[in-house]
Amino acid sequence: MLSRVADTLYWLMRYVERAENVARFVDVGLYLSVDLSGSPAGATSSWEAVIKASGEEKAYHENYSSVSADQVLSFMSFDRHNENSILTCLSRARENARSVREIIASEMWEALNRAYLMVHRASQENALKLRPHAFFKEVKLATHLFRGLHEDTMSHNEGWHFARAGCMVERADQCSRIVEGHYSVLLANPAHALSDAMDPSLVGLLKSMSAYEMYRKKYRRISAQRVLEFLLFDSEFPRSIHACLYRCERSMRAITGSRAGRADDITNQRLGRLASRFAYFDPSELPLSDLEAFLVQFRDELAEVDWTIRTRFFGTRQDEGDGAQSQVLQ
Amino acid sequence: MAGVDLSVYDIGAFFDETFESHAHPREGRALLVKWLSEASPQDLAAQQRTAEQMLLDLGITFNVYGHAEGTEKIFPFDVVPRILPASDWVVIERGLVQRITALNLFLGDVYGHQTIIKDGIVPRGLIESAGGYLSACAGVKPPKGVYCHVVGTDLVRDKNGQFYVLEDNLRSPSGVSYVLENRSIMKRLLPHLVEACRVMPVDGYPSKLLETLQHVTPPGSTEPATVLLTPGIYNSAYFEHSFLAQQMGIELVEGRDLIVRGGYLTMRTTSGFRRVGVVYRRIDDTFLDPLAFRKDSMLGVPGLFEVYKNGRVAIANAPGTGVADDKVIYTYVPRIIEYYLGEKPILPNVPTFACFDDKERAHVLKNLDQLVVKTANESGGYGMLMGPQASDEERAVFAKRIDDNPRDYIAQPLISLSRVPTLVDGELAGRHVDLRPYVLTGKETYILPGGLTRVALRKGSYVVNSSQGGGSKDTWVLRNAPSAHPPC
Repeated sequence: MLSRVADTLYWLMRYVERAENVARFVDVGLYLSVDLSGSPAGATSSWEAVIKASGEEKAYHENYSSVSADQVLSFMSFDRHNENSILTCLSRARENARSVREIIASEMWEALNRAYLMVHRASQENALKLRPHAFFKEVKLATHLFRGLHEDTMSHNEGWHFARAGCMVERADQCSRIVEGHYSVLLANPAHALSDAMDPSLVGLLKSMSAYEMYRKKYRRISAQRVLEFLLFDSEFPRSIHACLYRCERSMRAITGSRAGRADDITNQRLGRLASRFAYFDPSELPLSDLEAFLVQFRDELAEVDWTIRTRFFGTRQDEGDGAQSQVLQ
Repeated sequence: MAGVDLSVYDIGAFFDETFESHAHPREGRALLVKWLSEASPQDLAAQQRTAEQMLLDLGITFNVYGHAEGTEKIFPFDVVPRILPASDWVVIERGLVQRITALNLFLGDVYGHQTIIKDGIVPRGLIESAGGYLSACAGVKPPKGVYCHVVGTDLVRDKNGQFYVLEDNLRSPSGVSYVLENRSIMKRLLPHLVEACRVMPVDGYPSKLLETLQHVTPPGSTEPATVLLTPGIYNSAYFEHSFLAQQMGIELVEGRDLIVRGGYLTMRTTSGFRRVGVVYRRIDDTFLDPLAFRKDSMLGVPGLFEVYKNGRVAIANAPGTGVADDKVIYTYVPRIIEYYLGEKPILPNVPTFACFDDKERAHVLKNLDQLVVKTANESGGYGMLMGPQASDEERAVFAKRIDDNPRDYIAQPLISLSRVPTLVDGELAGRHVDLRPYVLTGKETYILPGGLTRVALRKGSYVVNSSQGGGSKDTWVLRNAPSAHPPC
């Protein structure tokens, strides 16, 4: 398949996944702020966590002088100055889809086009004031629909695998950011650390990853250590970093036609090494105080995998910065 | 509920394609008129809204890139179809086959032995001064000798219903995707009416186009790819490019995907370079190859023309076809048909004055207020003067331009275009239309039974271009009615 098309499919899915993750954690931020509203400081810090997790602190503070619920919601949903707002992501995903319309199933294009038009309409209808939860739910349903169509209407061919690899790289990356954002706010207040006061925030974190119910089934009691273990290393939960890396590796092996366990390609080598670290990691070896360094290193290695995929398959050259459709992991 | 009130529909002083006289439908339109008279205005409006929503969901919209907050507009679509009975279509079909066969022969001759010049039929000076003439193509024979693989000829009807050829469009005509999408919408909106009227299907177009393209695959390698070359997503016809590539199952490529290696054209894939044998290009001649033509072209492929000259890739349409749709050469087409085929033209030209001729120029300059002046090398309604509606100043500007560059201008009388009932503010009103049928030439010449009907939605307007208030309608070519059934 054309290198440009593979590149576009990979980024198309990354943008859709990113839009969904933004909708998830902003929605949870909104939900949590209700409980925290008794203490204004607590409410503000939860919105700060949202901005931090998005990786767009700089853009936010350039455009807004204070942190408030309304401003954060609008910044994360519709602001085109925000590279990662829902509207920006879906608009990019749509442009990418437009340029590979003939490759993806027409249902996929139509679903994505409708999703973008819906968000664009919402941005002009003051949806965040009138029906914020309904709006975020619509975004999530729209991206679920898109991924479902990807799964069930497109042949599971090379292009499909590039799209899924993109989806998994993005999800793993977003997961590490959301976890880091949440824990950094929690751990910044040592009085709260490891006490029951963390509960609402951890519940919020689990909910933002659609992980709350599955976590309860497995561990029941909420604990900072267990939540971390579940979101990073669980082999069964489909949004854990471990699960994402595993599926990404399977797609890259399908593309290169190599068997599991063989490092005959540089992509498989790097990806396999990273995936097995998560598969065989002993969570008790990860003290909460080391969490940030651990996640930063993970993202560096993930960025290396991403770069390998781009140079190996998309024809991106060492001397090139980002292509028009690509954006480096921050 | 009462249907649309047809008694108030005014035919006016025009050729109405649906009604012969007040409330009397023409041949083949009775079922349509019955449906109109039974559908309530609310039904029609609802059908219209459904059609528009379908187009929006499909993303068949005008590009308004650059405006982050800009709204997207669909190409307006009218749900009342335009019907052409088999008796009309037969004539159009024969006329187009004749015309395009002759034009292909003409192109082969212009870039080959030039007998038509030597025999004094078309002056050399006119050919070589045509904007679309490419001297680099002299002596180059395209694979299988085909120049115009895809043509979209513009036809109009005058106040007597006579069909005329208005423009030949031999370069890379667009619009066929609207023909296919309009039909697909109508089949969903009004399945029973489409079926009852015995409308000829248009879905076969992508297969025919693929067959046409693969017919010119150069010999000598195993299955070289056929690709569609697009300028990219910012081109206004991008939807059509991706739609056709998808329907044919071929790669949609941009210039940056293609590279000439070892004397062959290849495309860059995730598993290395793959040879390309046929390029259905939707970019202009001069952008094809920065080494051969425009140096600043970012859309083309360096070295492509050399590969083409060596017969190792086919380009559809072939470079250089623009010489034959120059508007001055157009005035020679009837003579071109007679010269190569020994036949009288079946479809006439619109009477045209070529300003390079002293006598005709004098006539044009004297009658500017009654004529439409066009630039020889433009299409799509650009560089035009609508004499009867223009101001004195506008006419003076054109008179000067004509005097300065007579070769570049032609003039035609204003054709009083035929009208078709159209839904306007919930009521039916006559609106002017033109017709663009699509013609494919491979092993033989094929005419898609249908075409793009463009309609001037503004009252009284003759301008059907989408940029100036034009919309489109589905065009229904009817099957020959079998004798067992009464004609519909």
